[in-house]
Amino acid sequence: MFLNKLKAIIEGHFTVFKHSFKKRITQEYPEVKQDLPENFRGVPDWYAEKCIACKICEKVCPANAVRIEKGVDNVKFGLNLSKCIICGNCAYNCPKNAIIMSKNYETAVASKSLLIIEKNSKDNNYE
Amino acid sequence: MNIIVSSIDFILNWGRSNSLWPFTFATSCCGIEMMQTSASNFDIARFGSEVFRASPRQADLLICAGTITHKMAPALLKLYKQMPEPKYVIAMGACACGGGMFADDSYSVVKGIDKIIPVDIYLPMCPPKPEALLDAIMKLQKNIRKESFLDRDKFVSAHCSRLKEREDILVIDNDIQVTYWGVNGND
Amino acid sequence: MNYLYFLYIQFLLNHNIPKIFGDITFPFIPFCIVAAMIIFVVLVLVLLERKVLALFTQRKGPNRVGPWGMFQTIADAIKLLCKQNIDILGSDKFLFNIAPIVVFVPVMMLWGIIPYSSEFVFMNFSVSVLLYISIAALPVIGIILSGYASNSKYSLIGAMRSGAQIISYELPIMFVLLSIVALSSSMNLKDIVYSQLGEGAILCWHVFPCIVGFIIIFICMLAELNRCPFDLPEAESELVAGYNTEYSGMRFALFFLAEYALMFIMAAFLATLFWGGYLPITGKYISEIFFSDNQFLPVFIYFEQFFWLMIKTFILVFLFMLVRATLPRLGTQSLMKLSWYLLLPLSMINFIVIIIFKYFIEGGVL
Repeated sequence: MFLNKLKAIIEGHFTVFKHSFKKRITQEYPEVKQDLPENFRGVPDWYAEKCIACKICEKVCPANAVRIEKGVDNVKFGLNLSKCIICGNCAYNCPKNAIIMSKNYETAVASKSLLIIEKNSKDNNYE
Repeated sequence: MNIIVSSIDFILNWGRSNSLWPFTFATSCCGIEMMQTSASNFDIARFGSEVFRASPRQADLLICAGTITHKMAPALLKLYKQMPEPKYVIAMGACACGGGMFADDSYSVVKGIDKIIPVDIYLPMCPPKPEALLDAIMKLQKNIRKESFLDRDKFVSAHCSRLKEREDILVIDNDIQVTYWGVNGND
Repeated sequence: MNYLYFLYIQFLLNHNIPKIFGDITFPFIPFCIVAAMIIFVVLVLVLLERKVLALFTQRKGPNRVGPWGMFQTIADAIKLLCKQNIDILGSDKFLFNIAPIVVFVPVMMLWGIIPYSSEFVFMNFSVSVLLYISIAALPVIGIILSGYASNSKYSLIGAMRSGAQIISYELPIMFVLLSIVALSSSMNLKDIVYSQLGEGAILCWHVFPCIVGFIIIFICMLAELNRCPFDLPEAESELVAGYNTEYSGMRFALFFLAEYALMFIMAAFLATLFWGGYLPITGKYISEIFFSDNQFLPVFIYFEQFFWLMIKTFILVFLFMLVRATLPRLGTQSLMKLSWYLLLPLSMINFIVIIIFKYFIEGGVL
């Protein structure tokens, strides 16, 4: 019984020591990025030229994070990142594929006002 | 005079930004991602912050990973106050940033920890990837390198201008009261 | 230190400085060397520990600050120096401030006892071993003071655990040291090193007759250092951070410094007792081959002896880190059981066996 315990302890030390000769698996994050899986969901992206302002995305959103406003000749899109849970419902239910889940996940910002993304179809720089 | 201040700033900020010791504070699912960040694949030790201290007295960085309920709010505030200056806060996950999916009709969740404590970096997503947390820490390091030790008090007072203290109440904000046993009022 | 004293006075006389100046300044030189060495060695050790733990878990460790992360611990030191010191409400202010110093000063004294080479012995007493073991038990007083003065239940429980642990692990250390004293028939560390000198080089080391004693004292040193797997006083899952829960900034850094300085000096002590101290592994000094004609050959040999001691010490420190990376923390019960049921009887038996070995094989006990 006692000898078994001692054997296990010594074996454990050898196992740990062996790991120091193995290859390091750490990725140098900012320089080397991991390959994302095909169906990875990042921040939702909105494409104004496809949007028909049907407001389905507003209805299916479980967290009320998406907001679509239809003006006279333009469509406004609002996304509150502090509510969005990246479930992908808006992209799945969109009839024209105007919302697509992007691969962007680096969302850290220094101010809370930057968490609300607002886009207007009239602006040219919505991309 | 400016040269002296800027050189002291450079040395202090270099030291502070490169040894951010996080505080072990994980309240829900974002905590799993925080653990993953310190594991082998995304080694947080590369930035010198793998020293997770259990005592708030020795920590510099509060990574608030997860939902803060009304019951947890006084504990969070107490722990933040127990940390010595300089201290920094990362709000990790949508719940800590602004309530997340509980933001609209929950009776028990604080809608964003910035109602209680000042926050330096907001990191939304539900939950963020480990890389995103590393990205947030790097952005925080950039911010620390820019600041001056003379302006640190201004930042805290600007973010906590509405905070007051009374004997029975820890924080009185516009619409939130943190007492020793929980949160009063509808926030 | 006679030869070094002679060289120093001669150097001063060559520059027309009176001898009395040399007599006054000479005792301060070892103090300055030790103080500089503690800071340097602790900065290296902390970085080494983080790098080695990263090695065992296939991580990379600190590598962003400076080349290969070499300035990581310097950044930590700057940050800890400039951190706010919080005065605890209801704490005993005097004891609270003095506790880190009480922990640190005995550790610093220990650095003078070890013979770094046959000339670098700063405090050469005839009972160095006794002195070592009595000074090495002093830091626990500081730990108990810190726990008592903090006005925190976690600190108090951690300090009490540390006290209980050190009392129960001191006894096996005593018995093992007794067997070493019997083997070398001296309590002077320099004489103990000389008794390991012989034809067989490595085979004359005390670790071979006393292998059981070496394993026992290695385990007990881990317990006295409050390191894994015996870090119950700082167990963060039960007691927030143990006895230093309420310490911040520079006071905490002193605890940190003392812990790593003690770890290094205990490894050096073990190397002196069991692995032949400053004697070369090869059996012959390397500098004797290269600098045989040089008039400063003794000085070269002193530095080579220092180099051999450092190599042995760092191997032992590496073993401490390997144990930390492998084993989980013990429970309070099994910690006490291990000492009183296993290590203490085993060390007694080891002592008797060593005496018999000494009597029959080497002839005579003293």
